Amino acid sequence: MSIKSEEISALIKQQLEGYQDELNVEETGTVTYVGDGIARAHGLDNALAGELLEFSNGVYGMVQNLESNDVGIVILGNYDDIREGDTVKRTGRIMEVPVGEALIGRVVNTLGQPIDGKGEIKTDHTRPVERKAPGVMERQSVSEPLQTGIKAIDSLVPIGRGQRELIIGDRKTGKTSLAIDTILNQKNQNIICIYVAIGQKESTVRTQVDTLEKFGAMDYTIVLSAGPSEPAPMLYLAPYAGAAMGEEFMFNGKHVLIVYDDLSKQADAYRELSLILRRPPGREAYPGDIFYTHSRLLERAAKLNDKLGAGSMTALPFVETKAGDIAAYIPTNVISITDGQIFLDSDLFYSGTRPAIDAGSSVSRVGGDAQIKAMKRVAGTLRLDLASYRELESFAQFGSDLDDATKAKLARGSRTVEVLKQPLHKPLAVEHQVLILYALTHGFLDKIAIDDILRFQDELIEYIDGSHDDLLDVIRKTGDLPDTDKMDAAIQEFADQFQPTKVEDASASK
Amino acid sequence: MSLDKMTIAKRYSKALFDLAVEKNQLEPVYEDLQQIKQVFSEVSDLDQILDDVRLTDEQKSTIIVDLKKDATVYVKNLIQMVYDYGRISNMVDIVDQFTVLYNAYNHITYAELSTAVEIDSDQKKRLADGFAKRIGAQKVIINSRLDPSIIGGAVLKSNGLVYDGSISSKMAKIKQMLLK
Repeated sequence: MSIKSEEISALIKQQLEGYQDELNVEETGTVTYVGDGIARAHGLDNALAGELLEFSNGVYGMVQNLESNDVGIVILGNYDDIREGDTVKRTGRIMEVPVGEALIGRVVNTLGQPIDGKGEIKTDHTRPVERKAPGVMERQSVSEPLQTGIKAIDSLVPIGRGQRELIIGDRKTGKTSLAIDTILNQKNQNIICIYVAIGQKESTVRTQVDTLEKFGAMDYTIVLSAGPSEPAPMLYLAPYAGAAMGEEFMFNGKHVLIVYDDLSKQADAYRELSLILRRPPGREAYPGDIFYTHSRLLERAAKLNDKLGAGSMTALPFVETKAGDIAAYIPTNVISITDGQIFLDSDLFYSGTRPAIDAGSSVSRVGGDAQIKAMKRVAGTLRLDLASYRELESFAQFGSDLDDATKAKLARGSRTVEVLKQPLHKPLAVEHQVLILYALTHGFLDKIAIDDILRFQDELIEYIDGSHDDLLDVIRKTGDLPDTDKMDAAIQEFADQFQPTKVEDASASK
Repeated sequence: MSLDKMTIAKRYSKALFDLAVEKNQLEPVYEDLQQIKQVFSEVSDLDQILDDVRLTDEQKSTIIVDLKKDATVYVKNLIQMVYDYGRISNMVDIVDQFTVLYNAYNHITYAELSTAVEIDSDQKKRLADGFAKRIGAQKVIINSRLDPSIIGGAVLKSNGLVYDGSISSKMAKIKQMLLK
């Protein structure tokens, strides 16, 4: 290929036409302190809180503290070659991130720059990172369900579109898996997912991205990662950047699911930079406005009214507890902000109940309105059943003689627990969930051995899918249960031909 | 938390300045303070000597007495007070801050001018007048220096503002535009 100098010079000429010769007036300050991701600068008398500043090496910073003699700046990038005495100038802009369709399927950092090596993100839309949440009149109450595909959640703690549901639990209790499974289940649901990884190991994020790619979920997902090796300001700002990306879709009438994994690490990052900025420490050394950092973030999740396009943003914030202590500072804060919480219990997890959702301490304050009717009818008594089972279970351990009613209750309870178990990356469609829960609450499972229940479920779904799809179609279309006689007949038909697993020791089947 | 030197300097200088204005003593006080600053810069470790705990109070007082010998009464009092309160190491900052107040009061602006080539006093004066008009100051004092790296034009720094009319920054701007 030959270079056509004429064409090139014509192009350059065109670009140069836009150049305007004007006197460049800039307001500058002098750096007096640099360290640990923050800087202080003398001067900059007119700088505004939250304004972007540019250091002489091209790195940007954000004004955090306005003090009588200097300003405290968080540095958004490499601060190694910023020196005392360097100049820093005002830009008059606030921090913005690129937003729009082009980001879908990409892995980006807090600044919206791609980190997946797939080239430039072509979008000219940006949104401010910090934005006031939609007000009272811009919202409407949550009415549509967000199907997580996880039986224990969709039946016991249903989540609606626009809700904020906290997922809380110790380390290694399956919090992230819950989020990934929820994202996997949004396939073909017309929901855009944003997974914000805050301070998660880069290798873990890589694994999650691989999982999402494997199940084809990256087609509707944005992954925003602020790794542990990045400066604290990037971790602190990551969820706001993610929320800005979500808002773009929400205000265009789309539905968004955003996962903040996790906010305790964001709180730690904010504590770090607040302490270095010399803000006074409060409880557990968190700064005084730690509640506000989380409340203003989660308030941005909303269900907009019809006039604004009825878009929604559902937030699933995570908080990690230490030794199951949900009464610590950050957990109580976030619990009080969100519309409910899903509590993952490590004892349950290690005893094999996975997802390890503790039905007793998990609630959803608004999701019930969003549940489909069929689910409401089959799952209505589930919570009570489970609670009374847990109560009886402890009695039964004394091994005394039990009457038949109690025995039946125990049998039902242990089967309920079994039904709510679910393997990794196997989300179930809502009609299938209704089907198995219907079978449970109508006593079809009472005669099945505990170990056979998950197999029974899989084969039942397969069978009904194959020969009675019309029943499932009713659930899909109307959201209500089909004729119970037909349901009963179909399930009975299957139960009759179900082959229990042959066990040598007959006592193994309780 | 101990006060930083900026806060200290602002407080002392504000008090002295208000007093000087009230008593119509601004000019002599200003002159005296410039002299003191001169002394501090000539005897480079004077502030450290006056802060040194190894010296007795008497030894230090003799220096203080010398220092305030010919000063006006307000400057005398200032030196004694600053010394008594253990703030003598902030003396230069106080003088600097006083100068800022003095300049603001008299509408004097200092500017630092960088040019690529030497400019004559006529050019300098025209520049100063133009700048004074622009920012509404009565008098602009320009300190000029040579900086060949800006290639051409001029860069004026004043009060935390940079007026950049240099060739090098214009070229950087064009470069940025072409790279976009």
